[in-house]
Amino acid sequence: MTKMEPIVGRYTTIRIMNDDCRVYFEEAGQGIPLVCCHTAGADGRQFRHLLNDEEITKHFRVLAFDYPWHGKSTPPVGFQNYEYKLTTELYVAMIRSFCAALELDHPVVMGCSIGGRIVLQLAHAYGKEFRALIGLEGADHQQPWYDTSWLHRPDVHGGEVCAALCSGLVGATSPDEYRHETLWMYMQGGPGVFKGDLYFYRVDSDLRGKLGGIDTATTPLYLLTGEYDLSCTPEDTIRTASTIPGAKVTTMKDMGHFPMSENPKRFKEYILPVLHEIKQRSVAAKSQKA
Amino acid sequence: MAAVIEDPSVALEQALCERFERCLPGGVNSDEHLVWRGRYLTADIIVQIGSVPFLVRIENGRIRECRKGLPLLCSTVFSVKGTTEAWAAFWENPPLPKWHDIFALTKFGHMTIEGNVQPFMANLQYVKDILAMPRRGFAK
Repeated sequence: MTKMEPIVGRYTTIRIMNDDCRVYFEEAGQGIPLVCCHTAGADGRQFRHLLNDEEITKHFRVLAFDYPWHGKSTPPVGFQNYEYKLTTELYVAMIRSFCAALELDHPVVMGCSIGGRIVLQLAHAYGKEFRALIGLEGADHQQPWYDTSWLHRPDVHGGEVCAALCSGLVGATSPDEYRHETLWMYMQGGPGVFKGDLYFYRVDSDLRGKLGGIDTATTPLYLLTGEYDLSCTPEDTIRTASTIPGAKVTTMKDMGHFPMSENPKRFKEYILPVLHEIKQRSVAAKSQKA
Repeated sequence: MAAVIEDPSVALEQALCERFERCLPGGVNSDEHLVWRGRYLTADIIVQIGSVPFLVRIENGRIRECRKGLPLLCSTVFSVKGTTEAWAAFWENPPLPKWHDIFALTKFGHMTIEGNVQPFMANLQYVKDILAMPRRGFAK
């Protein structure tokens, strides 16, 4: 029989604000729950290399869920009657609802891009609920670099333009195989979904000056950004971290905006030490309690 | 006998123009898959390298003409104009961060994209690929 990957995919219906949402997620491993939040306009497949990595899954229960409207999660009932727009409130509710529905005990949340931005809000408003927070390609704000109205209009193919825009966010030396797999996911998003996610990014989540009170002693915050990320530059992340005492920043060499999917081997070099630190901290906390 | 160019910036601009001319039309037209990907694009566009404009005439993804300088009163659909520094860095292999993509160059002020942008966006990866072709070192 052919060799199976250890990833298991399941569906569940969870209440997110006013909607019951049928959500698809994949998981592998055991131990500390590590919830992975994908980028705008993509889905949980971006994290397949982490889910397949025994060095990670022997200590972490890695979970990657597709946000409603994305991947194999369906939009809420009645979606055909309104324009999708992700807000900060909805995004926070989505992640907290998923963690609560699965009864995860103080999970680690790791998000990329919009996911990197939302972990800042989680750290600010709900830090104590989480064991640690990891923002990949995250900042409190960044300068826009194109007009998002191009993402959803009848005279431009949505999937093709989303991928073509994102092609410039991938590191120049990332392996071709993974570059194109990353872009393929962008070609598969529903109409207007990437644009709707970017409502959160561009309009509803300017967090500059709003991140006071983050307690990194209770909930460590790690921010890692690729040097080739032209959207969220390393300077954006460093500037953000400078306003959060105790936040740990890493600039990832050779990496672009999608570290976990565009260059998984290189990303592992950066994320393993972070996960190791989180695990050590958990072990220490456990032994203190005992 | 070739003219001696002493100003290094002029020499760089000329070298970049020559690199571009080595790729267009030959490099594009010999790449059948690239031509196929651009099959819905027919447009005359301007690509400007430093102070030198090129008129690039695209017909169904094939480069019909790439000529240095613009004819009088020629009408074009869109233009992509970058500094010599921008094109030189963009065509490095591999390019450095912040110089590796045309949107990095526009975001950080080294390039402009103007005109009717709809055909540009509708054929974005194709246009990006022809503009990046000198990085691949097509030599014919």
